[in-house]
Amino acid sequence: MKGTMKKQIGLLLLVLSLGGNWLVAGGPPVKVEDAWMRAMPPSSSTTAAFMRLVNNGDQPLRLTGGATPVAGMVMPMITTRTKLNGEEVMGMKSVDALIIPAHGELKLAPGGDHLMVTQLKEHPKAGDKVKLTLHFEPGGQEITVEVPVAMNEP
Amino acid sequence: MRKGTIALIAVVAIILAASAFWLMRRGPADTANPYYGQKFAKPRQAFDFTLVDQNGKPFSLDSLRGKLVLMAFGFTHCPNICPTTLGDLAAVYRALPAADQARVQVLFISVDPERDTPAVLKDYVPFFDKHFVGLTGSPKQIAETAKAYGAFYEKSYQSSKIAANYYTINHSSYLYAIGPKGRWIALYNYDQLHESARIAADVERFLEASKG
Repeated sequence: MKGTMKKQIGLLLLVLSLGGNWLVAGGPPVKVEDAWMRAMPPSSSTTAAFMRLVNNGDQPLRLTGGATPVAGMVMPMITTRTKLNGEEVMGMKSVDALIIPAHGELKLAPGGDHLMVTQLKEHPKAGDKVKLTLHFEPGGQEITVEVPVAMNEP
Repeated sequence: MRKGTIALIAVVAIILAASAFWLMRRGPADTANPYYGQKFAKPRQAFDFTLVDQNGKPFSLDSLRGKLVLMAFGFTHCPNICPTTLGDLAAVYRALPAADQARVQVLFISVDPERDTPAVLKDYVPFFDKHFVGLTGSPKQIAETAKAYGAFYEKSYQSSKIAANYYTINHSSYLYAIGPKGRWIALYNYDQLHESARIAADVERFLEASKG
């Protein structure tokens, strides 16, 4: 109990100190580049968002998900590739977070790691722009970007 | 040093075994005349499935004799792999001259017959290109068809945060090319699909070869 409390205080201090740094810098030290979301047909419940996330900070960041007005849920997903009888089988798995290394980048790309955008409420068309808020930890930081919608990687 | 040697031998042995297994399953590739895809030197007859098309009508592969068929397995609740494949195939199709387009049919076979009804497929598949056709069927028909092409699929239940019993499907994500005479002539793996111009070049060669 005591140990847990100590840990929590420690974590709180860590979060506050990191959060403070970011507040000074005006948000998490992340640059979002080449973001896009795939246009999907009206029957679809789900699409995906892709981008490159560049972390200019000294700490690794965790992309824990996001939010958008066009869908109920935005979740980090990884693509799995396994061999079965010599055949490659691909799949996906939801994860708690995708890591952006300190002074490194995370690429979300078709066929790879991505943000699944599901419970679609509307189906934006190619050429539309969609607001997408990204959630980062530690610090509960957010970035909102305007993401173009496209049929294929622009 | 010794550890390194043993590791190296092990790696080589594994690669050899895997290659041998692959060759046994597929037959040797045509190395004399390299295509972008893996073209089989002695293509065998492709399995002539009968499934249900996006209009709810029975659809047999043998109705496409005279055309080159590009075929992929997938499911419409797929946010990433399947739309990428269909988007890539749309790029291949558009890279073909009109005369060749008329001799090519793209098929998307659902491995999720529970959710992918003909109506769902009709909305989904032609969205990528209006000439593309989506196929579904009974679970048994789908299983037979997938097995005949060595394709694998299984449900993968995801976080219940998304929805109760929400699943995606892990599946083989190859592209299968079936020639105008119904022979399974080539195979592309997922990583090759982005090179739409090179696949289109193969397709034109396949069509040219079938004229002779």
